[in-house]
Order: sequence, then C-alpha cells, then structure tokens
Amino acid sequence: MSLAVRTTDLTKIYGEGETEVRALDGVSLEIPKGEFVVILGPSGAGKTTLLNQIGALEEPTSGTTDVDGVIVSSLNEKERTEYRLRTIGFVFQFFNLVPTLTARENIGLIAELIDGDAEARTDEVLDQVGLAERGDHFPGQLSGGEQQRVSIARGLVKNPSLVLCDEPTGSLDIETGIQILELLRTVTADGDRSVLTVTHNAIIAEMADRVIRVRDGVVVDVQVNSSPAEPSELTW
Amino acid sequence: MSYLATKRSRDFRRSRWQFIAVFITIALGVVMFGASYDSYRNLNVSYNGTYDRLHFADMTVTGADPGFADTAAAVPGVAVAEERAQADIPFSIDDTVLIGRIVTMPSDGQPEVNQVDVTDGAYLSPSDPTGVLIETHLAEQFDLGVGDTFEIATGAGWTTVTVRGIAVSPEYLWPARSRQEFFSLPGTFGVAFVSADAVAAAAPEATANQVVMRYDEGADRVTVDAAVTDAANAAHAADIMTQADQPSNAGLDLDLKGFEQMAIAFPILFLIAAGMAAFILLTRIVYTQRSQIGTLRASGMSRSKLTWHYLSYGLILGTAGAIVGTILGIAAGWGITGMYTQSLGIPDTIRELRWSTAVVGILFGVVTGALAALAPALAVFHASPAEAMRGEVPTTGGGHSLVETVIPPLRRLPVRWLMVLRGVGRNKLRSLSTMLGVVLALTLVLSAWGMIDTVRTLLDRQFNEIDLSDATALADRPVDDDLVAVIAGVDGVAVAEPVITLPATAKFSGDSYGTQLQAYVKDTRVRGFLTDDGALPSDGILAGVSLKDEIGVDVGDTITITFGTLETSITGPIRGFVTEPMGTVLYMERDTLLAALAAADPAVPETTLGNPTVTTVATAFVDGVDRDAVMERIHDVDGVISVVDSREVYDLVQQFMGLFYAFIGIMIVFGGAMAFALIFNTISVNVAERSTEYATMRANGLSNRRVAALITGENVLLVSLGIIPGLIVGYLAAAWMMSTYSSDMIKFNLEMRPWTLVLAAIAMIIVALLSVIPGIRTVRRLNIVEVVRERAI
Repeated sequence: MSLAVRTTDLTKIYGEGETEVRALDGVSLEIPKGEFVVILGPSGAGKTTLLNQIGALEEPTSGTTDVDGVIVSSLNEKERTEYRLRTIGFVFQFFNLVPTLTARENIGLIAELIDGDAEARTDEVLDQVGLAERGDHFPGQLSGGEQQRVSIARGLVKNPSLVLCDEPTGSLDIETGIQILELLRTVTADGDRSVLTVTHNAIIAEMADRVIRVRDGVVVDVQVNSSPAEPSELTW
Repeated sequence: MSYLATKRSRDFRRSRWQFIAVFITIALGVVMFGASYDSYRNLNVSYNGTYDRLHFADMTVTGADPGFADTAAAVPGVAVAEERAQADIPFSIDDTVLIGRIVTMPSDGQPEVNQVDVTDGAYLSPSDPTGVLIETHLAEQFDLGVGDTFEIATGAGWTTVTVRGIAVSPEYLWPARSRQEFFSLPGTFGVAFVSADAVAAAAPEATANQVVMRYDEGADRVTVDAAVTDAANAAHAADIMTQADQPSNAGLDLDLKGFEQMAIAFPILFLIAAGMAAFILLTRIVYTQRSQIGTLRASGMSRSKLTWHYLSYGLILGTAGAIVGTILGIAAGWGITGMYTQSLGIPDTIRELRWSTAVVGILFGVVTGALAALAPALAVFHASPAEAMRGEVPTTGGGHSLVETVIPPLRRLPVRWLMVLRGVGRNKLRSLSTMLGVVLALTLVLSAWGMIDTVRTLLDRQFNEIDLSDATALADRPVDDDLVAVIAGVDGVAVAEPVITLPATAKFSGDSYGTQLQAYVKDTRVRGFLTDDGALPSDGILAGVSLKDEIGVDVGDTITITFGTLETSITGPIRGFVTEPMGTVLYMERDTLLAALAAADPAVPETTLGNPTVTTVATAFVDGVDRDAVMERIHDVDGVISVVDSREVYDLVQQFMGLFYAFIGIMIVFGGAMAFALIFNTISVNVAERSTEYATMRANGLSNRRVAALITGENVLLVSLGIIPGLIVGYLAAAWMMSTYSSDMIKFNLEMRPWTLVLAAIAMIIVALLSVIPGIRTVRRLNIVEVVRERAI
C-alpha cells in the first residue's frame, strides 16, 4: 500500500506564553493513495491547521509531513510554491474566485502556470465538472454550487496527486453540497489521486474511505470504512 | 494576453472612475511640470538668445571719470568696453508730454554693446541727423510709425525728430525706467536711440555718461564683476549695474523664477496627492483580493509573479498619466512660451524639444505610480497562502473614537452620530490620506490666493498710505515757489508741493546701490512714510529697508549719495528705514537736500535743477472733484508741460489683476480637482469596503437618505479635520512663495485676508460634498442580495 500522506509528531503552536495555542499536538497519521478521506472535528479542533500543514501553507513548529515521498516540512519557500503547484489542488469553502475573470479564465489562470496546453486542459476540467456551457460566465453570474465546481476545476487542472478541501460544502445547500461531493468522489476513481476533506459535518464521513477524528489538536480516532455510502445517499 | 493581464484590465475597468481620478491627478502634476519647466527653459533660452544676438551689456557703469572705457577694457575678462550717453528728457508726442530717455548709438551702424533690432524702417544714418530709432513699446503706445515726427526737449528747446525705425532693445524688453520705477505707466516713459549729437544738445544735468561692457565668452562673471566694480569705484562712478541688476532683465528674471517654482513645488503637490489616491485604491484592491491571492499562492503561483502583478497596476497608471501629462505639458509649455514672448515683444522665441523634460516628466509619473503600488505589492509578497482559508474579517477592531475617550459623555450621542465619529478613526491611514489631500489642495489654493491678496493689499498701501498725490505736474523750468503757489490755487487742488527726484547711488563701506532720491517738504501731505511718527527726519535720510542688505548699512551710519547727472555727491546719516511695496528709495527733506547740494563739491544751486524730471509739483485734489477737469486746469498753467495722473498707475495695475484672477481660477480648479480625486477615491473605497454593512443597514430598514447622511457626515468631518492643518500649511507655503518673489524692486510680504481663509475652507467643504455624491449613488444602487452574497468590490 503506497502512502499519499504521512505525518509524524506534527505539532503547530500559535502565539507564546499565556496566549499559546497548540493547534496540532504531535499528530501522526498515514493516508493511503487513492482514498477519499474525511477529517472530522468540532470548530477549533485543528482540522484546517492539519490541512495547511499538508498543503505546505504553513510551517510546523515540529514534526514532519511526507507527501508522495516529499518531506514538506523541510522545503524552503520556493520549493513549497513548486510543491503546491505540482502536487496539491485546493478547494476552499468560500470559492475564492477572481470576480473579474470568467469561470474559464479563473481555471486558465492556474493552468497557464504549468507546462502543456493550458486551454485544452481548462476545457477538459470544465467539462469534467459539468460547466462546459458556463465557462464564459463570471462568478457573479454563477450559482454557489457552480462557483464551487469552478473552484474544484481550478484545483484539478494541475492534475494534482492530492486534493485538499476545506469545508467544500460549508457555503452550499444540501442538494448542491451533495453534487459537489459526488464530483469530489470521482476524483479518486482512478486510484492515483487522493482527496482529503476537512469538515465538521459528520454526515459526510459516511461517504469516506477513511475518517480521521481530531479534537484539541490530537487525532483521537482513525476509522476505515469498508463500504462507504454514495454521496446521493447522504442527507443532513 | 495572460489571464493575470486580463484580470488586471478588468480590475481597471471595474474601478475605472477611481483609476481615472488617479490618472488625471498624475497627468495634471506632470502637465504642470512640463508646462512650467519647458516655459522656464524656453523663455530662458529665448531671452539669452536675444541677449547674445544683440550683445546685451554684462555691466553698465554710469558717471565714471573720463577715459574709464579704456580702464574697463583692460580688466581681464572684459571683451569690449564702449562709451555712450543717456539722458532723461521730456518727449512731446501729439498732445502728450512724457519723460523720455535718449540713448546714443553710432549713426553709421550698430554699437558693439547693447545693439538694437530694427523691426521696421532703417538704422541711424549720418545723412539723416534728425532721424531717431524709437523703442517698440513707445511706438505701440503712441501708434508711431516710420516717418512720423515728435519733439524732444533739448538745451535749445523743443526739437523735432523723425522716426527712422522701430527697434527692439535688450535693455527694454520690459520697459522699466529704473529699478525704483519698475511699473512705468505706458505713455509716461519711452526710449529713443539717437546719434551722439542729439544728446550733446540735451540738458547737461540730465545727461549721464555710461560705459557698457561685454565679457569674454566663458569668463567668470563674479570675478569680472568684482574687478570692474573695483575699477569703477576708483574712477568715481556714480552707478555700477551688473546684468543681473539691470531693471528689465531683473523683472523678466522674477517671472522666470515664478515658472521655475511652479515647475517644482506644484507638481510635487499633485504627485503626492496622486500617489496617496493610488495607494488607497491599490491597498483596497489587494485587501479585498487577499483570499484570491492566498488561493493563487496556495495553487503554486510564485510570490514574485503576484507581487509584480500588483506593482504593475501602479506602474501602468503612472506611465499612462505621465505620457499624457508630458505630451500635454510640453505642448502647453510651447504655447505659453509663444504667448509670453509675443506679449512682451521678445524678438527671439526659441522652443526646444527637451528629452530631459519628457524623461523627467515620465519618471515623475512612473515613480509616483510605483511608490503608490509598492506597499500594497509588498503586502502581497508577504501574504500567507493560508489567507485563502479565511472568510471576510472585520477591517479594523471596534472601539470608541478618540473624542469619545476624551469626552465620555459623548458616548450618549445618538448612534448615527457615534457611527460618524467612529468612522473617522476606522481606517486611520485612509483618514490621514483624506486629510493630507485637503492639506495639499489648500496649499495650492492659498499659494495662489495669497498672491492676489498680497498684491491687492500692497497696492492699497502704496497708493493710499504712501503715494498720497493725485497728479504730478512737470514744468519747463526749475520749479519755484511761485509755480507751486499758482498750481495750489487751481480750482480743485487741495495741496501742491515741490518735489525733487534725482537718480542717485548710495555708497557705504565700498558697497553701492543705484537708486533714486526723493525730497519732500517738511510735513508733506503728498507722501506718507511708514515710520513710528510718519514723518521725514529733518537732518538725515530715510531709506527703503532693502538698503540694509544691499550695502550693509544701519540706522546711524553715514552714507555717501552720488548724483551721476549732477556729477557731485553729498553725505548724510541714516535716520530710519521704511518698508514699502515698491522700490528701495532714499528720502530727505527738500530743504535739507538743497542745503547739502549747495554745500557739496562741486556745489549745485537750486536754480540749476531745471530738468522737468528732477523738480516737479505733486498735487492732491479736493475729495469728489472731477479729476480730469482739475488735471486739465493744471495743464493750462503757464510753464506746466505735462500732468501725470498718479491714480492711473493704480488703475492700470488693477487691470493687470485680471491675469491674477485667471491664474487663481486655474489653481482653484486644479486644487479642487486634486482634492476631489483624493476624497472621491477614499470615499469610493470606504463605500466598497462597507457595501455589505450598508446593504445590511438598508435591509434592516435604514432609508437611503439616512445612509447618505452617515457617509456625508463622516467625510465632511474628515475634510474639516484636514482644513485646520491645511490652512496653516497653506498660509506658510504662501508666505514662502511670496518671499521668494521679494527683492529690492518689489516687496512681497504675504498679506492674506481672513476672509480668504474662510472662503478656502468653504471651498474645501463644497468639494467634499461633491466628492461624496458618487459614493452615495453607489450605495443607492446597491443590490442588497448580491452584495451580501458576493462580498467583493
């Protein structure tokens, strides 16, 4: 079993003295390739901090993170940027689309950073997320679900080995949220790519291959789901 | 085009009015630089072109011992020293008698120094002994052409001369009679160039021998000036005048100084304002796009690429403003140069395309844009990709306003008032920027307005407190008590007094200053003196305050006064100084002067002061009288050849004030535009930043009018806070500007009316009210649902 992610004694402390917060406290975990993983936990548990560490958005206080054989925690700033470009795809709760660019342009903005035919790849992922006909619309002209699809397409256009999602359905209604989860589920279909989703919505855990529960900066439980539910079966 | 470039162009389009405001401000700053700097350089080159072509004298020495020309020619650095004569005598043209000046030149060609440019007719000729060249201003004033005749007063009486040519002279590009009579009234002074014989026939006491010099090319002017001055003093010269002191040149130089100042000070004001406006706008853009920036960084876009992207906003804006500003500025500079040389009759108009102007202008704009974008771009550089994980956060922490902290009972004010108070401190940098914009705008406006106030006040002082005469009568004989009595008896004349006016040079401890000595009767009623007792000293000299600096003299020092035309000198103690707007004149009591002249060596008896320009009769009229009728009656008195209306100069200068109004109008429009651009951008950014807040207020039932009142109140309060330092800085800037114009010829100490400050403050409030209108319209058009959903500008 090859691993997508391995963290060892990962610790992240914010502030110091009386204001010190241990967001992550010696987290060690392993995530195999090709899985859809849900990190569950209440607000302030350290879910997003863990995601930030794996995505090389922040440096750890101590410990290591190994993604696809790359020791993320030892990378310098330039290498982290390159790592994010080649390895990671992000999907955020608030979509974070550039409102002055169309859906196609928002995706193309990232596509043109990497080698190859950016235009063709953009069209491909737009089609993949079901927005081939809406590519020339601006974010303001798209529904929330459509905006999140563009956001996913933007994450996928680099063909990353790991897609990190931060509350991807947090701003969406149930129906749209399920559509987005279905889309994310397809990402792991080929067995090469993994999806790591942070959420506080326990229902989403039912569709995961693996559920990691986090509380107070510590992994309290890792549960492997041998028969994950289909997203369409979920409701909340 | 890359997608980042597409994003940038759409950002520009999205905030187009704010970007246009910044663009216009940058362009205006660069236009001002290009126009004033190129005008300054072009006029400088034009003047110097004329000076070089017509061999304008580097030095003029009056009244030195015979043979001084040879001495001067031997001074190292002097290329040519040439003798000539000059006399101020009456001209009679049509029915007008005026003080004319005749200057000799060879009858068979051009002099070597101070050549003239005959624009119509021909040069002097030995075959035409009565033919003269007249200076172009005289020709224009009296509509004289080639072949016309007029009369000049010589020792033999009125002699008719014929205009042989109209000439431009480098000495009279600005027709000033002397440094003390810088504003010579058109029609009261004119210059004619004549052969040496004509001057020989003029009244001897009016004639001054001069030596005019040109220096070697590349000679060290300071060294040669000093050497010639030493030689001239040794030769008992009455007056030593460098090229810089020459009245016409000094006057034109004052104008150039104005352009030079405008080329630096005003553009800097605009570019600071433009920089602040751009900074506010770009900071806001970066702030609102921080989650996008974080996302792009998280997606692998490099820091440098993103930083350059945001820096390019300022660079593009600055470059665009600079290019447009430079083109318009250079074009305006050329236009101003042409208009200026044409109106002054400068024969050479030289317009040069200076790459330095274009390069500096474009640099101004680019640097302004780059500096404005630097801080926001650096913020991007340091932005954490983790920003992408965050939603919208409050821009600043909450809290009481400073004024509430100082005065706690204010916390009980209605909430809407508290919102206004707290809004001011909500984004301190932006609030300071608005205040700075107001300060800059007021500086611009008050600098211009201060000029008109000062000129007005000083003119009132000159003509209502100092020169109390209504008219001056010139006679064809030495003025005596009988003539004064007759004029005093003219119906409508309240006061008539004899006045003596002599060209003079004040000397003290090796320094000299060419000026004019005016002598009035004891307790004169035609002249006011701004001293403690308002009276002339009975036993000494009262002097213009600039004499202190000119020759290092102080009260109690004894100075020597040399009269070039009388070839004698007197001595006397300085009893006090007066600060007068125009000129640096020496004053004595008439009897004291006559006694000193009688005792001088050689002695000058009163009866020999026969030149009409030396002894005159100053008159003051009865209030409410028909001035023209009184002057006509004085003119009819036997012996009176001309009556000069003192008030005409005042009226003339008042007419010139029209130009000042135009200048001030432009400055107020520019200052208003600058303030508008900055306040408009600040308010736009404020409204954009709080669109969700305003939309929520509207959703909760606040009327459009109430929201508009909140926005207006906050911004008018901010502008008001900027007005206080703005008035102070503006006043100081105006004082500095006026002081740089001050010289011994004209004193410009700032005299600003309190009303000016009030009006300037009101103007700023009006600009603030106009500036909030677009912001209020934006709020009115807010789609509440969309704003709450999209959360972006």
